[in-house]
Amino acid sequence: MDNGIRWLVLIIGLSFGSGGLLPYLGLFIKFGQNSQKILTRFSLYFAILGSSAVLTTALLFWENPSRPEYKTVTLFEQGNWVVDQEQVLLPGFAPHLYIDRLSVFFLILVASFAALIAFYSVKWLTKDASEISSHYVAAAFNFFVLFTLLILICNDTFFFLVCLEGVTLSFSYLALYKHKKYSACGMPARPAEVEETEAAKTAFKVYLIFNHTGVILITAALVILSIYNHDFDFNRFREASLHNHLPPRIVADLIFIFGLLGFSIKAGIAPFHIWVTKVHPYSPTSIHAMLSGVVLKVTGIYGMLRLFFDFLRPNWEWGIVVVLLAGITAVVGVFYALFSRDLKEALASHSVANLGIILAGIGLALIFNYSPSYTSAKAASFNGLAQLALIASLYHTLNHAVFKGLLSLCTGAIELATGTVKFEELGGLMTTNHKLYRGISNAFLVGAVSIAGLPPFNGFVSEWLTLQVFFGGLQAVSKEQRFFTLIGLIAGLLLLSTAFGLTVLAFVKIAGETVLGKPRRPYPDQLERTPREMSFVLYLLASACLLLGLFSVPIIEVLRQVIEPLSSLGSDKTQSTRPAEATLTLSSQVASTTVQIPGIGYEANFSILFWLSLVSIIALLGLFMLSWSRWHSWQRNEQFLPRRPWIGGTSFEASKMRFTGNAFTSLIWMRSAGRSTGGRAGRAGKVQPPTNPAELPEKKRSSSQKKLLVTRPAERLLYKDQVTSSVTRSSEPQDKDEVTSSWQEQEYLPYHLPLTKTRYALDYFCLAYNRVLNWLLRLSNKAGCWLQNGDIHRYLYFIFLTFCGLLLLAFTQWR
Amino acid sequence: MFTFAFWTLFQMLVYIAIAPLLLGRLRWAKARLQGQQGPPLFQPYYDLWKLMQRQPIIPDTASWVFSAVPIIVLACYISLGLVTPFFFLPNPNQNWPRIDLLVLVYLLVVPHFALGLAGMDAGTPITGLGSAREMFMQLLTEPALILTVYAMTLTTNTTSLTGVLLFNRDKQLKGLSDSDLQQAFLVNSLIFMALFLIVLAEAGRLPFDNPGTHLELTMVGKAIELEYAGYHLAMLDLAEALRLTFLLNLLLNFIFPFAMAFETAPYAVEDLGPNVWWVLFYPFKLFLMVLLLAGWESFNSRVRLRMVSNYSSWALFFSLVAVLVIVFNLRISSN
Repeated sequence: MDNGIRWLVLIIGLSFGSGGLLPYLGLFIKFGQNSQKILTRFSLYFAILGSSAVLTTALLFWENPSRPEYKTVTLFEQGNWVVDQEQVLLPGFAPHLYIDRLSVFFLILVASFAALIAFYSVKWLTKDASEISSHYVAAAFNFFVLFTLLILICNDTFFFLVCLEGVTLSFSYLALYKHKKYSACGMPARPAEVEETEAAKTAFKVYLIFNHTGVILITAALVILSIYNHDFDFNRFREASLHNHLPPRIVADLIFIFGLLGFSIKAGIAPFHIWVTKVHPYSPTSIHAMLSGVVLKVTGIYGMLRLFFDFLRPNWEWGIVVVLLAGITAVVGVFYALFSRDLKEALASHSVANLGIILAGIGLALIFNYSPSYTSAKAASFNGLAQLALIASLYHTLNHAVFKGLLSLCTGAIELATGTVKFEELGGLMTTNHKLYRGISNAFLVGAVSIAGLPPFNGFVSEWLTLQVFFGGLQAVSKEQRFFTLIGLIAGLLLLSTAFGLTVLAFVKIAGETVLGKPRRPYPDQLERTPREMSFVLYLLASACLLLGLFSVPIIEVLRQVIEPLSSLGSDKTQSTRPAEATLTLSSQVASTTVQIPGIGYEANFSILFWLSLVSIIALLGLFMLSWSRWHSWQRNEQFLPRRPWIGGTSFEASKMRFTGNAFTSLIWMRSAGRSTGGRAGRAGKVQPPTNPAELPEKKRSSSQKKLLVTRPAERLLYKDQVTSSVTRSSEPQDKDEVTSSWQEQEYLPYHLPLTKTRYALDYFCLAYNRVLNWLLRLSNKAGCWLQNGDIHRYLYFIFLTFCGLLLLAFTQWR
Repeated sequence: MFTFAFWTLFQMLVYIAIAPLLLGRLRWAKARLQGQQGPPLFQPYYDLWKLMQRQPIIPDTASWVFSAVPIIVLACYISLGLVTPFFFLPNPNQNWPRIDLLVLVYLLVVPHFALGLAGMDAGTPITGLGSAREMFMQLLTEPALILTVYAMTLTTNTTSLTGVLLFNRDKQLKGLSDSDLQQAFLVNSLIFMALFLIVLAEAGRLPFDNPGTHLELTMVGKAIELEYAGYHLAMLDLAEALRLTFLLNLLLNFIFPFAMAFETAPYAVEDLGPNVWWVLFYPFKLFLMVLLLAGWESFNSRVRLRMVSNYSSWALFFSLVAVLVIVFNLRISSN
């Protein structure tokens, strides 16, 4: 088994590493005319090869005993590279490895999606990124997957953080994709394009700032934990948690807060979701599917599961905070999706909402796993609920990967076919004559139905399970009269159900605007067929949506085994071993999904027979109607002639008079803004943040826009300093700061994102972020720190280096 | 198993057969309350038959979704007949299609989603308006419905349809004290009020939507159906009738169940005994609800679209109070 893990690392490292390094061969050797395409293709082939090898290898680890004696496995045999583990100076040179069923589940998820997306990208990248160097994109994708897979295997603080940082950095190249594409296309002509180019550039900055902040917080959490446990090895944390050698309460709370904040930033939980909605639209669409579908969960959710259920035993009260956070995230994410203006942005925002649903499961598991229970019946019910909550959470992780992957890849195909993803320019793909468009549209509709959580597709099952935890949980808790738990659970239930309702509305809007109705403009006629590979991936994912919804019973069984290895699950604080009777009963009767929570006698079920009968009723009705229309004489004589629709007697021009998405959501604006004017135009003027400092950045932005409008890209490069200084210097007379130091106020987070116009809280977040950062930088400036010149990257690397130093210090201190 | 399947399918057929009658009686009762004569007894059936003879018209802006939606909507409401207790209780031990109240909540969303897509697919401004409004109402009722379902299942410890029904029916037999029964009555009344408002919104009845309107700009659900004709429209009309029947049945049977067949021996068809006659009473039960609804509709007018959320927030309020009463074990009298 130890050698098996080393083999796995070897496979991952060799295939993805060579896939990542291959494109750089192009610097030395030219492979003829299509050198770039060939390199891209082969780099992605390496990714496919590696992913399938990882898939098969990971399955071998399934039968690994769930809780081994926590033997440390190092990457290199003793005596080979490392003489003696005790004498190692740098812990990173002897990475500790560990694999259990939780890792295997995520490994399979990542590897299968990496394979699918690489397969899809072979055609997509060579077509879409023809004018920029697509082989570097493929290389970055390889590294991206490599580090994501390594996160799941590694087992010590240092290696974990290195991999986390590796994911961040390898994606940062991909976050620049749109910016590169815009710059390759030449000078932007229209103001909208200028704004787009600028947004693509700021997206990159926002990404780096957020993710590095997240990594720093996670570093803080893990370093404190390592200091307390006198080791960097995760196994030591597990042992300590299992034998109840826990940090004191305040330290544990501190670790929990740092971990929650850090992993929330990495996962894009509100209020840290801005980077997700900002950055994802500017990454390549096919790889965007990978990030929003899978990698957000590895860096965020997997980390949370490990920290909260394997290494720590946080107080159960934190669960209420997490549940509320999750509910808010779900609602905020759907609102963003509802009001976004292009398809990619909408899908990225909706990932936030789905992560909220996943986080809700984790929060509920925190509440029930760590609640003190005085009777064995109560312990049994709490234990069952905690398991059910985690199962629901993981099920939604799987489902979200499938339908978000499907929708994102459909978006990629739409973008490739029509050249745009803006709602205002899309529409009516289903009614065009192209078979290609119709195929994409059908797949898109399946994705929309599953993401809206409609039975019998897959989104429904996990939402149903999550709601069952709420239902059963309130019942289990209600006998103890815990006021705050009850209020928290009811509030979480309300927020989540609102989010479900909003999702249905959002996806009627999105699907209706994108694929239904009459096209708003003629689509390109001379279109090359979508490659078979791309359609194949789409249909595969669409059928997975249906299958995961219909056959939920075996999947729930598998997921129950997945959560088994988590060390603190299933044992309460007084007992170190798991009570035997306290397992959740998820009986798999003949084709019916049943939830029985022991202790309180709660039961709920539905059977697959119902969905089968629903489908057969649909089929029977369809057949009846078909034969009915055949039988009638009007069908024999004339066809179903398409007629012009009726709009009150006036002349009708279908492409101009479509119902727009802004009009669709106007009812919601009307309610939430409290004004009768709906639509975007009505809002733009009125909703400025009410305070005075809000006006300052607005002026800056407009001046920067003016400046950029008259500057060509080349000139911008030449006169970069002047332009940036005119951007950063506010038009108002400077106050005393300028006199005392050479420091200037800078806007790090774009204060007025196009999306955040009405969101006071977010504006204040950006404002506060800019303020705090400015304040910190000014402080360091005044301290005369010669390392600083106000450059944000240098600042962040400085912090990161400091933490690395801290790590080393801690290591030498305690080993 | 065979007898069970026979009786359940019989129940479903009765549900489908009397649904148009119920809608016709509702129109009749409203007409009588306004001093008019009202349509004949079988008018809805004549209408359906007439529409079935006509050719459907499909707008040139629409795709296959437009023609598939009536089938999906109708199939959803028909399939509810398989699992809902109308006058027989389905046997929970049989291997029969089975859903719980939460699945029901999600299943009720499906027709709205499909109709919303159909409205966008027809591609005209008016149908789009209709689907936006329909989804908006859907959004308003969803949290209230989930919370109401939660209140319904809070005491019964299960979300299964039969479990809730049986619990409410057998309350008296369980040896509860007077105080418990009073609390249960209070909770059930609150749930009834919340569910009544939700049913009005879900069925598109009066303060939420005026089903009899002929002005496109004020339509909600009907605006989506503007482009439908022929047997497509017949299916949608039948679906509307089924929806009303199902929702009234939800109000009738689940909170204050009375006069159900199988009163004594719930799961054995052979032991039906004298209770089988309650089956004949079932249409009259529904007719009582229809009279209530007709009265309500005669004394209410349609509210502005912005005011709709006031009604659904009342529903939310009632269900929230019901939940809090159970959870914190509030009592009317302290004995």
